[in-house]
Amino acid sequence: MQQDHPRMTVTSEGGVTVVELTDRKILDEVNISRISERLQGLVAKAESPKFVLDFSSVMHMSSSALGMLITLHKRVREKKGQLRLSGIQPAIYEVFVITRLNEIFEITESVEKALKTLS
Amino acid sequence: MPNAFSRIEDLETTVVILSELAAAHEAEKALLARVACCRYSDAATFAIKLALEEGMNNAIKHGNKFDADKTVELVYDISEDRAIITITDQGCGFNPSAVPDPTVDENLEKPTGRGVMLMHAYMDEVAYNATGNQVRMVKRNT
Amino acid sequence: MESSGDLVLDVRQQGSAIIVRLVGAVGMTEATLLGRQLDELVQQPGAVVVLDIEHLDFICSSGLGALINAQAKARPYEGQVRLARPCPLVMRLLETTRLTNLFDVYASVDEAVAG
Repeated sequence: MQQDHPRMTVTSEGGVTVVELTDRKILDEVNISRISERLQGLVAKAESPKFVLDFSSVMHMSSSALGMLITLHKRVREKKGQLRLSGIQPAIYEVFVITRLNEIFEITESVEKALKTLS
Repeated sequence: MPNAFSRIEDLETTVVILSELAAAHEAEKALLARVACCRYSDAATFAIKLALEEGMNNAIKHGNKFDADKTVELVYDISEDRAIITITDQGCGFNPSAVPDPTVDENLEKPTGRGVMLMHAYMDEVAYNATGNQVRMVKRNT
Repeated sequence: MESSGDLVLDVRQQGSAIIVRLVGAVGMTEATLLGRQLDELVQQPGAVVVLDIEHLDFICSSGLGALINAQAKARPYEGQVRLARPCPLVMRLLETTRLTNLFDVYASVDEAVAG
């Protein structure tokens, strides 16, 4: 099925914004740019933003989505906020290891665990 | 601008390797995989790969002289807007301005100086520390 | 055919010339193999060695050093190393280093063989 817009669910839990990326595939450049814009928009609005980005539903992801995550990480840090990534599938996590981005991002197994580290 | 520096530090990856070409190759692969994620043009990717290869080569060969007890530290911060690479060896350093220009006719066939010249030609910024055992390079993604 | 790290090297004879096809990348590791191979090929009287570099997408200064060395070694044998079909990025590198003064660069292998 063709998606016109990348799908995501945004919820707020005790001052923490949880963004669940609900597309199975994040491959398309246009979609990645749209996700990037929306996430940066959310970060811009927040004061010392606390974000959890949940990848549990994502099975395939293009490497250029990682560039988007690096930019997001910078924006969050600029606002003295915190970012956690959660629920990354093993095949995608492997790319984080190859690029050593696992050393830069704080990655947790689940949203629940991410929320505990943000208290 | 202390803020700018603290921002940069947040995205830094540090890799310390032995003075071996194979170890350098592995570290370079990880860095270039990050470059590939950040949508650099083919020309910019080529420039980063070249400068990295030259910098690591100089550190291992000329800096540490393949000494197994010495290490090379590679620090990098790659994002969608620019790549910053710092390479430090444990040698006694060199004076970059004393390197002969390899592009003049009488030096064309000499083996030295080409690496340093290429780093300057391909990167937007290249700076050495006072000792000459550390080089910091920046490539902007334009 | 020989391969070392990121480089595959394929040597064949075309008329009186030797064609060496380089595919991949020449970094510091591959430069040693390339140098060894070329040294052998150029040390024959009148050897014309054409490097077909259409699919060479990267070469560092150590690799360029191997090419320069081979050119110097070919000279007393009245031989020559020629380059054919560099991609734009490698061509720019040859121009930046002014090695276009040391090597004749051709748009095709046939033209390089003809000289």
